[in-house]
Amino acid sequence: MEREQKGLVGGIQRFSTADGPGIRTTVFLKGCPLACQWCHNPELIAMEPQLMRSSSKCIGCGYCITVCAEGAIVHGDEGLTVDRNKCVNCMKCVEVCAAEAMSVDGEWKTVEEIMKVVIRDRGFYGKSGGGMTISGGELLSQASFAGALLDAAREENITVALDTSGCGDGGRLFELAQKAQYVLYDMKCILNEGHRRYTGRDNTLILDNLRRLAADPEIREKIIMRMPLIHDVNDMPDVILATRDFYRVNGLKAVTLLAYHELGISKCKGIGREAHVFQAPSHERMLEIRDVFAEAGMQAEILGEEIA
Amino acid sequence: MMNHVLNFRIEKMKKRLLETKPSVSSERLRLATEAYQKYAGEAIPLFRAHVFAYVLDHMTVVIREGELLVGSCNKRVRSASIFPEYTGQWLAERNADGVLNLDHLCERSTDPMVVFPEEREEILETLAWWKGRSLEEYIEENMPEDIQEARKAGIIAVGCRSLPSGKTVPDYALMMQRGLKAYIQMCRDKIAETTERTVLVQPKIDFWMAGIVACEAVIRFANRYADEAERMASEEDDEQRRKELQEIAESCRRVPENPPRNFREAMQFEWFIYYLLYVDNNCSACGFGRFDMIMGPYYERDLKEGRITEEEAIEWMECLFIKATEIVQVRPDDYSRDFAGFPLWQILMLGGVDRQGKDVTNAVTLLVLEAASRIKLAQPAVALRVHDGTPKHIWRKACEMIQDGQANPAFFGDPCGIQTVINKGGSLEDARDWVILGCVEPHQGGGGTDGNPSAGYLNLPKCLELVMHNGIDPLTGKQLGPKTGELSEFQTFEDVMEATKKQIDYWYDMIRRGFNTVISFHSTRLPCIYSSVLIKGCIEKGMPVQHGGAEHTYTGIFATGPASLADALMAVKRFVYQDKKLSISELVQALDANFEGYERLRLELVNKAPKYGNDNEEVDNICDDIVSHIAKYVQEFTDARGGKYCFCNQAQTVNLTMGYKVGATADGRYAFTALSDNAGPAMGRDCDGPTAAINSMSKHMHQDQVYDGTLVNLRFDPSGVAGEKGLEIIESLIREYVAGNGLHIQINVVDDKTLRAAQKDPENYRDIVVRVAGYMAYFTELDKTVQDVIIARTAHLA
Repeated sequence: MEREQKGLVGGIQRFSTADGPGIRTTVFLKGCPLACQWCHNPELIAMEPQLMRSSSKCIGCGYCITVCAEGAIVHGDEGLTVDRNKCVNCMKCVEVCAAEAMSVDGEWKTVEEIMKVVIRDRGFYGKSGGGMTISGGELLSQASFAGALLDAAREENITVALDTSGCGDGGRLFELAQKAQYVLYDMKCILNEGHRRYTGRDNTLILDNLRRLAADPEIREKIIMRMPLIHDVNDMPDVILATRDFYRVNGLKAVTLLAYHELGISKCKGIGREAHVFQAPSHERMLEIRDVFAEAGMQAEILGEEIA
Repeated sequence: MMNHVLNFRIEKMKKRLLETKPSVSSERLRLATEAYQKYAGEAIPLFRAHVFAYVLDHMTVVIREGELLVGSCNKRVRSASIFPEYTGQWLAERNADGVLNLDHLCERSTDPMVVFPEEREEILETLAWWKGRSLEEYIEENMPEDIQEARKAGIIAVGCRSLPSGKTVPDYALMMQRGLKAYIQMCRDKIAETTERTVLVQPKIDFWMAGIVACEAVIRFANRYADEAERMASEEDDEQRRKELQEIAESCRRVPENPPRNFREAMQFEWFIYYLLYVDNNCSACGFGRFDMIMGPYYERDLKEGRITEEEAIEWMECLFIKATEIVQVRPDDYSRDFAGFPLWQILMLGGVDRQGKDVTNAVTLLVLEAASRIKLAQPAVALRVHDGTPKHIWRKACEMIQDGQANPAFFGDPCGIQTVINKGGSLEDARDWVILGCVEPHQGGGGTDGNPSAGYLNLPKCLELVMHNGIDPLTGKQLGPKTGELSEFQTFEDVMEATKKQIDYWYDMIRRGFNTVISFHSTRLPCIYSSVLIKGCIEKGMPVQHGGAEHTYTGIFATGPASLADALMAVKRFVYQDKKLSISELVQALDANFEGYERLRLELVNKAPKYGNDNEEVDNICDDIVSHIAKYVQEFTDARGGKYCFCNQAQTVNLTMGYKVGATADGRYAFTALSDNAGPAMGRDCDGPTAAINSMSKHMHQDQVYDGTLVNLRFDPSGVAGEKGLEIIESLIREYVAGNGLHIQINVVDDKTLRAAQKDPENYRDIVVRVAGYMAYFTELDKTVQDVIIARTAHLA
C-alpha cells in the first residue's frame, strides 16, 4: 500500500477510552454499507465530505448566505437552515464561518498525516496498554487504506484495534485481523429479521465473517464483541439468548455492552438526516443481559462499569 | 481488613470542625499587646522571642473532647488569631459601604468569619493602640509612589506586606533525634564560644539568647498541656478516656523537650513544633515535611512490639488532619478573594526517593492515604512524590482517591523535582531529599532552606495590553509602563514579542524593588526567632532567616495568565502577521471596544488561531518562550537578604482579581474577565483532551528551568474515569506527565452538575473538597467567582 494514498477521515479522537483497552487514539474512516437507525455517528455513513451545521454555535451573522452560490442557506423560523437539496457541498460557507457553526465532516488525509497525530500520544499508549483504533463508518469501506494505516502503526510499535461491523470483504478483514491486537466486532442483532429491519441489510455476511475470524484460534482471542443495546430492538430475551449461544458455539469470550444513547440525534440534525428516537434498556435489564453472558463463562462488561 | 469508615470519636470531632463557623479571637491580640508594652526596649530579636514566650505562657490551653493529639491556637475550633504587629488595622477601618470591616467579616462572600460581640470592643480598642505600628503600615508609607500606582492598576502585586517572609519545613526527623533541649544547648554553646564581643557579634548573641527564650517557652507550653491533661484525667469518670489523658500528659511532659520514644510521642512532637509556627507569627505554607520517612520508623517499631495497631495509627493521623484544618487566619476581603477557601498551604509529603535514590515508602505512606481518604478534610494537602520505583499499591490507593473525587493527593514527579533543585543549586543528595516549601515549590531537603516568600505577581496579559498602547493603561489613560513603541513600529511579530518581554522585565524589576523594600522591614522589625532556630544555618550563623540565616535562601516570584498571554500573542501572529487579515491597529480598536460590534472577529480569534493546551507546538512554544524568558530573567537576581529569586509558574486565584484589570485580549477573551488558571490552558480552550493538554504542559515546556515549580490542574468528569479502567487511565496520565518532565499535577474528579447543584444548595454539599490551586478547599466555602473558574476548567470526558 502506498503512503501517498489518501483516506476519507471523519475525525481523529485522542484520549479515546471507549474503543478498546487503555488510552487510545481512534481514527474514524467514513463510509458504511449499513444504515442502523440508532447510528450514533451518522455523519460517518456517507463516503464523501459532508457539511455539518451546529445551530447552537450560530450567531446569525449571515456571511454564509452571501457566499452560497446555490442559495441553499435560508433564514427560517429556526435561524439559518441548509436546504440539502440545493447544497452541493462546496464548503464555501465553512470558510467564512467564524463561529464554527458550519464545518466539514470528512477530510482526505494521507497515512502520514494521520500518524503524525497518532504518535503524539505514544507514551500514554505504552503506559495504559492502549494504542490506535481504526473505526468508522465501516473500516472495510476503505479496507486498503485501513491496511496501510495498520502497517504504519505497527512500524511505530503502536498496537492497533479494529472496530468493525463485519459488513464487507471477509478476506480483507481476516488479513487485517491477523495483524491487529484487538478486533472489536459489532453485534447489532443476531436475528436476521431484526437486523434487516433496523440496519437495512441481511446479517448473513456479517456472521459468516465472524465465524471465519473465530475459527482462527489466534484471532479468536483478539475478538471483543460489542453490542449496542436498544430497548425492544435487540434487548429481548430471545435475541440475547440466541446471541449467547452463537458466541458459545464460536468460542467468543469477551463481550462489551453499550446502552443506546441519543448523541446521534443532534448529529442527524447537523447533516440534515432524519433521526429515529429509541430508548435505552433499563439499567436492570443491562445488568441482566450482562449476567446472561457472564453466567455462560464470558467476560462481560457494561461500558464504563465494572467487569462482571 | 480496613473498614474505610471513621470511628465514632473521629466522626464526632470532624462534625464539630465542619459545623463550627470560622471566627476571630481576641486572645492573641490582647496577649501580644501586653507583651509589647512589657518588653519594649529589648533588643529586637529578644523582644520578639519574649512576645512569643509571653503569648505561650498565657494563652488558653485546651484539650477538646476526644482529642488524642493536643495543642490548639485558640479555645474555639477554627478561630483566627490577630497579629497586629503585621496587620490588623484594616479590621478597624470602614469599607466602601461605611461598614466596619470587623463587622463586615461575617457577611462577606469569601471566607466569612464570626466575631463574637463580647470580644468586638476589645478588638477595636486594642487595635487603636496599634495604629501606625504595624508592618503593613510601615510598608504602605515607605513603598515608592510608582509601585503603589502599579499595584492599584492591577499589573503587579507585591507580597509579604502583612505576613512573614519565610516558609518553614524543619528537619523533623533530626529534631526528634535531638529534642528541643539540644537547640537550647546549641545556642548556649554559641554564646559561650563567643568570647570577644564586638558590635558585629552582638546581634548574634542577641539572636542566640532569643532562641533560648523561644525554645524554653515552647517546653513550658508543652508542660502546661501536661498539667491540663493531668487535671482532666483526675476528674474523668470514663476509664478509657482517663487513660488517654494520662498518656497525653506523659507525652507532653516529654516532648518536644526530649526525643519521642514511640509513635504517639513522635506525632505529638511534630504537631507541637509545627503548629507553634502558626502561634509565633501569621505565617502560611509551613509543611509537615516528608511525613512517611519521619514517622515510618516509629510506627513500625511500635507495631512490631505490639504497642499500636494499624487502626490506632490511622486514628492518630485523622486527628492530625483535624488539628491542621483547625488553623485559620483572618484576611482582608481582597486577600481572601485572591486566595479563597481559608488556605494555609499546609503540605504533607509522602513517597519519592531518599538521599541515596531508593524509594522511601513504608507502612505509614499507605496509612496516611487511608486516613486522608476517610477523613476527607481540606488540610493538610497530601503531596505524593512519584517515580519509577513507586510501589504499585501506593499508585493504586492514590488513584482510587482521585477517582473517588477526593482531589487528594496531588502528584509530584521526582524526575522534574530533583532536576529542578539541582538546577537551582542543590547537591544531588539534597535534591533527592527535596521538599515543597509553599504549595508546589521544590527545595533542597534537610531542613536548611528558607524559601518561597511570595515576592509578588505579574499580570502577564496586561503587559501585552501595555505594548498595544505604548505603555499607556487604556483603563485610565495614564502612562503606566515604559514606552515600548507605537503600533506602527511593529513590523514583525518578533517586534511584538520583544516589546512584550521589555514590559515583563520592567515590571519584574519593579516587583523586586517593592519586595526588597518589604523584606528589609522584616529584617529589622520582625525577625522570626522560633522558626529561625529550627532552620539549619541560623544558629550556626547567629542570624534569623529574615537576615539570610538559612543554609539556602530563595524567593518565589509569580505570574498570572501565561496561557492567556500566549493565546493572545498567537492570535496576533496569525491574524496580523501571517494571514494579514487585519492590521494591529484595527485589532487594538476591536479590543478597546471590548469586541462591541466585532463579535465575528472575536469568534475568529477564538476559533481560528491555535490555543495553548492542545498539543500545538506553535502556540505552546510561545508560552514556553514567555515562561522561559521570565525564569531566565528573574533568576539572575538576588533579593535584599541574599536569597535567589525563583520563578514560580502559578497564580492561585489571582487570575480572577487581576483579570478584572485587563481589557479585552486578542485571544477573544472579553474585558475584565478571568485570566487563564495557574500554569494551565485558558478555561475551556483546551479542546483536544487531557493527553494533548498534558503534552502541552509537560513536553512542550521546560519545567525544570522554572525553579519554584509549575502548578497544573486537571478536571475530569467522573464518567471519564470510572471503573477499573478509570484507575489505569488516571495512573497512565500522571505517569506520562511525570515522564514528560512535569512537576506537579492535581486532579479534580467531579461533574458540572454536582458543582452547580452545590452552588445552589451549599448546605447539602458541604463535604465537596476541590483543589483550587496548590491547596484544597471546601467548594461551598468558595466565592461564586472562584467556583465558576473551577467549573470552567475543562472537564475531560472519555
